[in-house]
Amino acid sequence: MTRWHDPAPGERDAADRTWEVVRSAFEERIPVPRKRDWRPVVVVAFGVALLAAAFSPPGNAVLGSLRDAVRGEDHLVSLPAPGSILVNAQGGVWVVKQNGSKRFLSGYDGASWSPHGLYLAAARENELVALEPNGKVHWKLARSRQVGGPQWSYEGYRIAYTAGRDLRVVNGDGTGDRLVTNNEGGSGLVSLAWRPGTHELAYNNAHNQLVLLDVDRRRVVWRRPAAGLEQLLWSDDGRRLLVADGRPRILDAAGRTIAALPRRSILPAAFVRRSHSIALVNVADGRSTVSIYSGRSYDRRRVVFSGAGLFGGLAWSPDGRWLLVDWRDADQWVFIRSAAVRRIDVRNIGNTFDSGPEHYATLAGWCCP
Amino acid sequence: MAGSRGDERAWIRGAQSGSVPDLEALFRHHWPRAYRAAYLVVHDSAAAEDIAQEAFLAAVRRLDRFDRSRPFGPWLHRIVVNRAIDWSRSRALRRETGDAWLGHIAAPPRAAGDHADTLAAALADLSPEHRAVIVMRHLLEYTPGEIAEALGLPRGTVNSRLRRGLDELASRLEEDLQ
Repeated sequence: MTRWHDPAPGERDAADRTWEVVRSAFEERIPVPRKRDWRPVVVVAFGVALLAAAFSPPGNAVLGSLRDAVRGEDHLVSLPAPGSILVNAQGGVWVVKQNGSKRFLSGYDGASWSPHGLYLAAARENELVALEPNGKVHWKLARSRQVGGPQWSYEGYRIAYTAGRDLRVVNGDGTGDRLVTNNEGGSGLVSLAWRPGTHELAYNNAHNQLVLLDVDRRRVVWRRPAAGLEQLLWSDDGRRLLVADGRPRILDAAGRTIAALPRRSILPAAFVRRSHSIALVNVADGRSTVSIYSGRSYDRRRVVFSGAGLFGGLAWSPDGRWLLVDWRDADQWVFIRSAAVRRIDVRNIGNTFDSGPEHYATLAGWCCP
Repeated sequence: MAGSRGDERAWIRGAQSGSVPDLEALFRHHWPRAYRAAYLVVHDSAAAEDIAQEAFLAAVRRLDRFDRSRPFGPWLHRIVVNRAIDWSRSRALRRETGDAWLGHIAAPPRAAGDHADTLAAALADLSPEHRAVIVMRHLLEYTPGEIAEALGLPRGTVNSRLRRGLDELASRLEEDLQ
């Protein structure tokens, strides 16, 4: 045995990737500088106390809680923060409550939360349906073509959705359905995003343009080129817009580019609650990395999690303290409080939301305690 | 990087004071053995990276409380090896219900001149428990007593796993060399 100390496959690249994650976690935990360094005394005292405590039953419990800084669970038994998670899965929609109870709403697709989580809007073939999370249907609207992608405006008074290639808007009570634009979605998927605090809707049209439209006044606020658009996302205050296309970037409300993001930044993404910072996924060398970009020009990057394969979605808890990463290729959900503080890995997501180990379910939001 | 015990204490002290270079020195010094230990138990480079990464993140979380008079390596390796054993067992269970998902996880191709294929392949045929004690004894160079403490096993169990594992490993290596 002469080769125990040879490098293992991938060792050096993994070191660089992991160092980024570790450094980031470390920087997050750096304590406030102290005028006098009492640390040696404190550490000795703590060490003595810890050793003493370790031999007592309560001490064992304390050590156990330290080990639980990263907790693994084989099943989703609860959520770490208040609110409910919406999951679009094969054959229907799941609503997961904080206590871990899950309700399956069969036959729905593309569901999204209303602003306060009281209702869902979902598609059911050619119908747009507004229902409660317990499955009670409030109204339905049938169209002649396949309905998809319903999105509520910030106060719940409007729902934008697609019917075939048409982009339509209906009032939150199911009345006043009208065509917004005809055939503008082209053959590609239409991305929709209501600007918070307004009835302005951002969407992509068939001419490779990103459009911000004041729906009530039927007035185009601005248009910008955008080819291959995959996702649009507003910050909570409606002053920043993520445009995820071939050149991901952040715009301000006037459509001006504030920052260009790395080209390898891909879906998914999620603005930090009540902030302009954004969590994004980068993919390189078969690994995905979640980073939070912040600063005026988004030039500060903090890595919070990295794993092999692809991630399927990100969602912030309603209180903004937890980030949920749908680690699709590992069939896990990872709840991250902070890279330096706490993490919960929940396995078997495919079995939880789909009918087998294959993991198709997609996150559709974590809403409203 | 000499990596003496004194260096390590200084790195930990520096890191506890907020020094990123000291933390990096500590990380770079311990990464190779942590990663190799994980790799030799799980035989999956992506999983090894995750396991070693988690161990270092745990270290960062507990850095302020870490007792500098104690060596860092054994504490880190205990986490790495125990997690690697858990991962291997979990994968073995998943195989019963199909592990097609593992195929999605990209593993970097092996480069020529990298880790001894023969040794790694021979180890792969052993159970995770046997791999773990052999890796702790021969890569990480712990005594059987230290291994027993780290894995929470009776010393006799460690010795018997070492003996059986090494016998099996030797016979497989001989087969490969013939």
